[in-house]
Amino acid sequence: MLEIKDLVVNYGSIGALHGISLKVEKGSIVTLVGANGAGKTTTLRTISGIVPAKSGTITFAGEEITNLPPHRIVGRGLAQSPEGRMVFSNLTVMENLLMGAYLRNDKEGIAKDLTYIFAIFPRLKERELQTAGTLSGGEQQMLAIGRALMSKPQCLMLDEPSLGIAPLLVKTIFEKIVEINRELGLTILLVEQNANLALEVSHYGYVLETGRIILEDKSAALRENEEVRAAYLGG
Amino acid sequence: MIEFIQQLLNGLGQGSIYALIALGYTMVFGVLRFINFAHGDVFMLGAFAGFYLGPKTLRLFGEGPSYSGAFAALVVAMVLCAVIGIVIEKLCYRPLRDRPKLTVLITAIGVSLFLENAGQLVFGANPQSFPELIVDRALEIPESWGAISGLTITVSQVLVFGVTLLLLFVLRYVVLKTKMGMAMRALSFNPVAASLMGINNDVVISFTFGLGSALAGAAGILTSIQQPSIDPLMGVNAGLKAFVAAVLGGIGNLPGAALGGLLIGVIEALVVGYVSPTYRDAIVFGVLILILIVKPTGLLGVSEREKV
Amino acid sequence: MFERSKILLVATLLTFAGLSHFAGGISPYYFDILIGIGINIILAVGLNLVNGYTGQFSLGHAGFMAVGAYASSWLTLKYGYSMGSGTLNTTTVFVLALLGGGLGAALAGLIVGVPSLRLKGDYLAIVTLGVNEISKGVLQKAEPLGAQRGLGGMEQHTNFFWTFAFAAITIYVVLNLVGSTYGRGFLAVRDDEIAAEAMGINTTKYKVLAFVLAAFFAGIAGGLYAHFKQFIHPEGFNFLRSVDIVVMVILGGMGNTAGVVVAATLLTILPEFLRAVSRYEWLPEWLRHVAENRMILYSLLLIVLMLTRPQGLFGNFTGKRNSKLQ
Repeated sequence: MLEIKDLVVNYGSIGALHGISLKVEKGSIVTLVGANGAGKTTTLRTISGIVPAKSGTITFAGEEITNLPPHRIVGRGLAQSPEGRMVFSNLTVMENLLMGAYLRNDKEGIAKDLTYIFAIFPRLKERELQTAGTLSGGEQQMLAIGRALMSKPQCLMLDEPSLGIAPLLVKTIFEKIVEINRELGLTILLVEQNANLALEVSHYGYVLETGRIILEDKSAALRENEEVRAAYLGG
Repeated sequence: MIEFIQQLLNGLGQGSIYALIALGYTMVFGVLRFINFAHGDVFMLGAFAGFYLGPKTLRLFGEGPSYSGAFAALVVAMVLCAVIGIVIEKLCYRPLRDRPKLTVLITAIGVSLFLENAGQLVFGANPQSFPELIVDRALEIPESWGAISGLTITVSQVLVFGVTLLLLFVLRYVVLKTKMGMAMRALSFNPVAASLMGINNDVVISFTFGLGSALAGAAGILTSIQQPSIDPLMGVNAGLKAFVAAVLGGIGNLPGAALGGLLIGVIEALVVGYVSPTYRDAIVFGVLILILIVKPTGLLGVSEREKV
Repeated sequence: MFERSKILLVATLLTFAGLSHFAGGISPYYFDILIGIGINIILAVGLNLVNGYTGQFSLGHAGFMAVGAYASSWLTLKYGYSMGSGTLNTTTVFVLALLGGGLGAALAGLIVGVPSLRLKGDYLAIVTLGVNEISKGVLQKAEPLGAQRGLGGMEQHTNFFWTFAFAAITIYVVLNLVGSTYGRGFLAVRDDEIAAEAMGINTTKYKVLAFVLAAFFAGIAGGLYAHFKQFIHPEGFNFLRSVDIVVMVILGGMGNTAGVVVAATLLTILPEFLRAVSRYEWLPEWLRHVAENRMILYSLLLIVLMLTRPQGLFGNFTGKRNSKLQ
């Protein structure tokens, strides 16, 4: 579904990604784990076209999307819930969700998806008309995920959904991620610092270190891997 | 008292013009975080569009001044200015999107100077009298209305204020109820997140420039109906006052710009009426300095930390 | 380094004093241009402190020039000619009046700068532009200063020596300042104001200091101008005069003093050149009109420079920082 080959990204003269390759199979949850500054967010931003790739290719659903403008990439069915959530604080919850459906014109479909999102995140329904700025961190994360879903993507990228959120809500959100994947058959690329959680919910995992992929395997296998345990899973 | 109300009315007339221009400043600031120095000159171009095309649109509706002819001139000027605004953004500002703000600011100053001086070359530097689009006269207020009948209210005043209100409502609808309006608000809050929604930011920015410039064009026609003497430098002063209005209301805030414009118009009229016309410009900048010291976010603005 | 530059300054001043004796031989037309160059160098190098080194944007430099011109003229008219006739005496009064004009402009700079420099560059541009227009408006109404009629009657004290001596002093002060701790403060403000603040640099202090100093030099330039032309008028200090100076700074390269000196020289000569061009009758009518109106060229120059070469003709804006600015 999504494939990256030898992707190189530089910020000015500083290299951020030194030729990484990864593959996300249709219907699976794939995770990219690694420490702060390893290049996880850069990877997602490059896939979405926000950061330009210096070399390498990104293919999505059989077509190359490397360095397309972000709105085109969303149009092809690749949505992202970005790091830091980036909800539109000045818009209401409802308006945020409708922004997610910006490229769609099928009123019925939009209404159906709204109902679905309100069903998995009832909190959002309760706060429908509040401005997003008044939501808690966890609620904003739900909104960011819901908003990304509203574009009816074929593949969803989630950047650090656990960041800065109360532990109880983190659990809920990860359950919902699994639920979405199962019920909609939606392909998910999950970037997480919390490797424990990420490897628990995902099928396949990549370990990123200073701009290089140093390890990849089935998530279950990675959880048993000595190196990974030592470095990312706290023993 | 009647005198005071009269000054207020005069102030609202002028203030409507400032409000329309201020909206353009504030909208562009909202999406691009920069002050479009050339905006006042687009207002001037609106007036000249009316100067050259007004007589033609009048002829479409028969002989002499007519409301339909004036309305057509208004629409033509708005469309023309919208196109000019979009072209300016595309040619001069878009290539500089990722450059330091100072570079864009200097470019905008260059564009402004160019329009003013090219205007002098093309239109002539001397003031010209604007064609009579409508027959302006004082409205007769029946004696039975008491003291109010002492007021002088002209057709043009009513028209200017009415058209401004109409445009404000249209703008409000566009910004709050349409998809493009929502995209504008999203973009002004976070351009990256907006692009992740599938919004083509370039299109939204073009639209914003077009919308703001159309309002400035309308202001150009409306001001010329009230004061039918126009020249290529008329946008400098009006642009500065409108900018002060935008800051007064809270830059980036649409209702703030409208409110600020009306306030500046009224303040100006009161100073002219009760103090001295000499201080007309000075007092407006006094207001600017004061607001910058006391409440830099403006009357309706909310503070926003510059992003690192 | 500091010592060497001091010696260099004294040597330059002495050279100018010597050259000044030959200046009488130049034709009045060229002499006029020459003094214009000196005055523009003072204005542009001073403004470069604000628009170049600290990355702010002032669009009202002519306003401060006006303050200096009027203040110094008022001083010499009031005190200059009542002190007897000794050369030393009138010269002393002239120099004191110049400094008085400079201080007056600096004070004006302080009053304008403190509120507006707390904000970002765009605001400053418009505030200074507004102040420029207001000060012009006030001068047009100020009866004791001649109002619309302008102010005249000053003796011609400004000569080659004083003009270029002050130009040299301006350059000396700016270069030394930029090379000092203060200079690093300026650059920090320009390169990243937020980071500079986070590091504990009082950014407002540096911005105000640069602004006040630039206003001071503008005041001196105004005084020199007034005592050269012997007649000043509010319109001579309008927004377009400010634009002239800004264009010199941008063309020379913001933050590049040598470049700005060259640009100030070129742009003082350019209008004379254009005036000559506009007299060529074989040129198309519109081209002659364009040549007559230098602002069209300036505006296009600004746009094209920003689009293609924002660092100016001689560099040093966003490019690699020159570690040896002095």
